[in-house]
Amino acid sequence: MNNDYSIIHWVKDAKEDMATADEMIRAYMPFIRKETAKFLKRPLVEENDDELSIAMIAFYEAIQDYSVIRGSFLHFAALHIKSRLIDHARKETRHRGVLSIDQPVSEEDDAPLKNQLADPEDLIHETVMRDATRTEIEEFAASIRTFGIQLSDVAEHCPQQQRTLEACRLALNYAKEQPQIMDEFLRTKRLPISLIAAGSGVERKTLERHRKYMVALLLAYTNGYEIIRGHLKCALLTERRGV
Amino acid sequence: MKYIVMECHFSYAILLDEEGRFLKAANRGYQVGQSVYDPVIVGSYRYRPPMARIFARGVALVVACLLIILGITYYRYNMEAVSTIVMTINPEVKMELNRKGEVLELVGINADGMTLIADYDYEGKDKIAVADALIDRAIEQGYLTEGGTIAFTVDSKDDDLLPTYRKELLEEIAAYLAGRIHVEITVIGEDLPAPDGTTSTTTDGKPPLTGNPDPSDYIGVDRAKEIALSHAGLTDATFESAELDEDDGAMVYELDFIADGIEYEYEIDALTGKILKHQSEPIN
Repeated sequence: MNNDYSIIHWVKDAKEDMATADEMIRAYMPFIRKETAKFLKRPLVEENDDELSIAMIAFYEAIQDYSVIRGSFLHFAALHIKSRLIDHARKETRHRGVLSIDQPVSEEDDAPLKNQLADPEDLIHETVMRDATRTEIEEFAASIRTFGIQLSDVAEHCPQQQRTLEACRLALNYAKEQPQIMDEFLRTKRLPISLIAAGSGVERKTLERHRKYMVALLLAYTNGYEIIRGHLKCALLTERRGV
Repeated sequence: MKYIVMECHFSYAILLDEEGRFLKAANRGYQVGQSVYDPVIVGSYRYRPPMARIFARGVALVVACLLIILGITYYRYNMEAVSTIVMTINPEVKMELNRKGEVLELVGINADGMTLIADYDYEGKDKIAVADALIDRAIEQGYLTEGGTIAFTVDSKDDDLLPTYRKELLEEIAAYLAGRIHVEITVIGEDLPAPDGTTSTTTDGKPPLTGNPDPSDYIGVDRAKEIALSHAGLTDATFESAELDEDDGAMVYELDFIADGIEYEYEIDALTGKILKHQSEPIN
C-alpha cells in the first residue's frame, strides 16, 4: 500500500517532466518487458524488439493519462500496454506474407536476407546524408537551448489541431519575412509576440501557448539548417500557395 | 509522411514531420538524423470499444430508462397513497388508497376502530370489499344496528376520483346491505359539489324518497347565514334571529340580522340553499 502511494507521486512528477518519465520507464523496464513477453507469449530475444519499444511508449502514455480514479497505476499501465500491442499487431497483419530483409535466408544460412540484395546505389550517400543531418540537428538543438528550450519541450508545445497548426504557420510565414522582427528575436532571444500577433492577425493567446514551438521553427529559418528547412519546405510552400 | 528523428531518448524519440510538427514517438532503435516512415506516435492511440459493446451499452441504457419509467408508473398506480376514506360508524377507521382504489393501509382512528380492524387482512383489496367486510364486523360486534349511520369522508389528490368514489360507496354499500339492515349512509367529500345526493338511505335497496327530506340533508343554519351574508355583501352582522321554519310545506331558514344600521330579512331553502325571499330597510 505504501509502495502504491509513492508510485502515484512518481507518476505525477513524470507527467510534468519528460526526464522523470524517462527515468521511471527505465526503472520499470522489467515490468514493461514482462508485460510485452506476456503478450507475445514468448521471451524477448532482442533488446530492440519492436514490441518492446511500443510497450515503452504505451507506458509513457499511461503515465500521461493516469489519474487516481483509474485504480492502481501498474494495472492501468498493463492494460494500456496490452491495448497498444493489440493495435500494433492488427496493423502488422497487413504485412503478413511479406518477407523481412532482416530475416535469415534459410534455416542453414544465418545471414539476413538483405545481404543477398544488390546494394542500393546511394547507401554511402545516405550515410553521409544522415551524418550531415545529425550534425545539423545537434547544432539546431544547441541553438534552441540558448533560448532555454529543449526539443522535448517543443514536442510538448507543438500544436495538435490542424487549425492551430495553420495559425502558427501563418504567423511564422509573416515573421520570417520581417527582418526587424527576426533581428529583435535573435538579439533579445525573446519572441516578439505582440509584433507578430499584430502583423499576422493570429491571436496572441495562440502564439503564447505555442511560444516554444514558434521559437524552434523560427530559428530553423534563420541561418543554415538547410536540411531541416528542406524537410519542411513542401508544407510551407503549399501554405504559401494557399494564402 | 516522412519524419526526421530529432532527438533520441531511452524510451522515446522526437520526430519532426513535414508539416512542422514535433512529435513524441516510440524509439524503435532510431538514430538522430534518420528518416522514418512508420512511427508509433504518442497519444495517437485511442481505444475504441468494439461495435458490439457500444450497441450493448445503448441497449442497456434504453432498458434502464424503460425500467425507471415502468417503476415510476408502477409506483404511481400501486404504491402511492392518492386518496383516503374515513369510515365512521362509531368505530372510526382510515383507509389509504392507491390510484386503482386498492387499500394500501388501514388504521383505526379511535379505540373501537382499532378493535374493529384487528387481524383484518386488507392488503391489495378494493376499498368497497374492505368497507363491506368492516361493516360486517361492525354488525357482528354490535357497533352497527338497525337505523344506525355510516359516514364516509372522502379525500383525494385527484379531484376526478371524488364523484366516482362517492357514487361507488353509496350504491355498492347500499346494495350490499340491502334487505339485511336499514342504515343511513353519508358521504362527505371536501370538494364535492351540491350536498344533495351525498346521502342515501337503504330503504331495502331503493333510492331515497324525494319529497320526504331527512333533516340531515339540510344545509345547516351556519351555511344559511353564510349564503345570506355573501348575498348582502357583508362579512359580519348581528343576528336577531336565525331559525328553521316551515313555509308552504317546504323547510326554510328565516334569518333576521342588522349591519351598518340596515335590517335584513332572508328566507333560504333548507335543502338547496336557494334564496327565496330577501328584503332590507334602514332601521329608522
